[in-house]
Amino acid sequence: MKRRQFLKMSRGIGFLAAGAAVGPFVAPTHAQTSGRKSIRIGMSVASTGTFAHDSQSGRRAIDLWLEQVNAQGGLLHQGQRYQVELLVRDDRSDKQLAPRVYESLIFDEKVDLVLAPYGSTLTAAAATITDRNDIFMMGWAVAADSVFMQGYKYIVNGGTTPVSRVPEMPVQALKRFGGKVVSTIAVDEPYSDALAGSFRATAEKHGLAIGATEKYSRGAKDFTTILNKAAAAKTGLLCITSYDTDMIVMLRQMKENDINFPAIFSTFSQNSSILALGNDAIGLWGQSNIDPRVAYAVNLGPTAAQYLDAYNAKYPNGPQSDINSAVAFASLMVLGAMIERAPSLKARDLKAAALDLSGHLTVLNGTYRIDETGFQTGYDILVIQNTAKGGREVIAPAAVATAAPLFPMPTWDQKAKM
Amino acid sequence: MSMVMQSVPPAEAAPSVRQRAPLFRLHRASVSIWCLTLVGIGLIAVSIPAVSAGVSFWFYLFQWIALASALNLMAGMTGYVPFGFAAFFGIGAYAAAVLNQFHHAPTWAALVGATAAGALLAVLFAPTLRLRGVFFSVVSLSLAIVLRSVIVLLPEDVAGGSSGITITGRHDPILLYYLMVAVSMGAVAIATAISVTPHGLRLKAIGDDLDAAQIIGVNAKGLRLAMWVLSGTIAAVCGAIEGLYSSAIDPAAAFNILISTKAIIYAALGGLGTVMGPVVGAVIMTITDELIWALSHC
Repeated sequence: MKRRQFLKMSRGIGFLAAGAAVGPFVAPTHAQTSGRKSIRIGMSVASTGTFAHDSQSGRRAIDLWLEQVNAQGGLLHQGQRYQVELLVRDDRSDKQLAPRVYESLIFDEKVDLVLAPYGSTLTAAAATITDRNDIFMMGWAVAADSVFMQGYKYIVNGGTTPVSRVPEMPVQALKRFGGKVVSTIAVDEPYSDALAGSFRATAEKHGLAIGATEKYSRGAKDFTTILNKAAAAKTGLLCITSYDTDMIVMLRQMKENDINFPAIFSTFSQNSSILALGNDAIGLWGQSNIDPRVAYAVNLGPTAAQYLDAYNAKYPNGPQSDINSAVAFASLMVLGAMIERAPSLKARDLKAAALDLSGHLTVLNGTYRIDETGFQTGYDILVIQNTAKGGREVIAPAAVATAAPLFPMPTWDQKAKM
Repeated sequence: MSMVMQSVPPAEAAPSVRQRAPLFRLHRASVSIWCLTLVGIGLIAVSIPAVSAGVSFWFYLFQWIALASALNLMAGMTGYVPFGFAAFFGIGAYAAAVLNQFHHAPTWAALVGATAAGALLAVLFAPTLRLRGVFFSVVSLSLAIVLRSVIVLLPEDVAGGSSGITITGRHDPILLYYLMVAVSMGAVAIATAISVTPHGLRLKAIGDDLDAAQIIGVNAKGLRLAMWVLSGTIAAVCGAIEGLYSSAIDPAAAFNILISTKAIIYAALGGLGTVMGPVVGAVIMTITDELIWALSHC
């Protein structure tokens, strides 16, 4: 490097450093007025990246809740109704951006409380900021148990069934129907692997045997060997916790090799891509958190059927409500009740209200119940089974089942004749 | 070769005295100016937590300065562009998380462990330095992907499996911010020290023409290995500090290819092979990214 170049660059870096130092301080900030005019809730949504689709599904339901609440005059807090403002930032599904997003919401936008980002990784990264600054965070898509073991004081899971509790209903159903062995097939990705592990732990808890425990790398196309291993283990319930595209390949290879299982569970069994398989999709178990035919004794907000009607009215041209939309809506219903109950919007008061309301609120997807850490212990999932001609029935929990299960599910030969 | 040698005038073949004098003048001037610049940046960095409510922007700004500077030690000075650079960041994050979460090591011990893991990984990957150009880049990328798969396939109680590791112990973010500032300033100081000693010229010679450098007696293997280990170790320490700061580590984020590509782009934008280039590139790109992000919600 020439000396002159070096000197010029040294001077340049000085200016840049000064610019960088000043930049964030000159950003416009919202001064909080002495008298409250609204309740300001911050949240992040991913416009791009891994979580974009799911976080935007949740955002649509949150917008629906916001519209309904403000149309009714807002939330009743400290004896007065306040409109609710939602301040949204883009987190790009980036763990490194999440802390910055929540700092911006807290310090620039001066929000009263926040909704968590989509997913456990981003939520954990954001919670380090919110908890340190005594801001309450309502999680709506935080399935990992570990987030609630970190000692955070002010985070509550208001809508999602934790990954450790998803297998409870399918495993209980298998035991009730006489099955004895659970096998898992997972792709090497966080949620898939965690869910498979939870299935094994739940099966052991209920005294069932563990058959095959298979894991594969994304992109694998030949599942014949692992399917045969699961069949050889006399599997009663095969849990496939990977992608629907992989599941389609697995089902095709099961059919080609005439490999049958009494029950197959997958999160994606009711996806349109799986239902498009026609008779090959009959008998598969899937999960949902709401069903219009299942009416819990709701004491807060709409039933599942009423929610779906309202959602479809707001978004007549789709996309349809999905599992993320429903949990987001349920979380906001619970959050509204917390805000109305809490004496202030301080994090400790909201957390106290969250604990007070635990076990007393039943919303569209079941009863809200948390422990001291904010971990969700309510909201059982619904186990849905595909039936002939594109039908679906709720087969668990038994109390809200809409039909008796097809157990064992039809073999490939039987499906061909249906 | 012989034709080239014949075409070079004898007077230009050995201008040792004329070239060495400016080099040492540059040395004296640059050290004083650059030390002042570093002190200025350091003072700004140290004062930020006192005057700014949040430090995340600054934390990641200094992280990118450190990563771009670390990558520059290898890519800029020797011409070897490691697309698998993210492997070092990832191994550092995982080493710190495993030590802190599963073995209850204190923060300092987790960082020491991450440093050692980064250096060890660099030594293990050292045979790839026999390759050149795009072959080295592609193989280093492949090794990063393989390393990620190995970590995913390890038992959950060893490295967290596919779900990664959530660090349940609390760490002071301001302390971690200062550590990141120290690492970034350290990376720049190392680059400065190398560039103003004869090692800098030797490394440039390796980057310009490896064969020619070896012919004139440059210990290319040793210097390359030293830069590789240094570069990887700094990246591993960055990964460790970032992992403790965000408290959530998963394979997708820790071994994200964007860590490699961003570091390469930031360093290249400012100028590969220069001391300040990666700093300038990281500052410009991080501020630009911040502005784009801020404008997206205006």
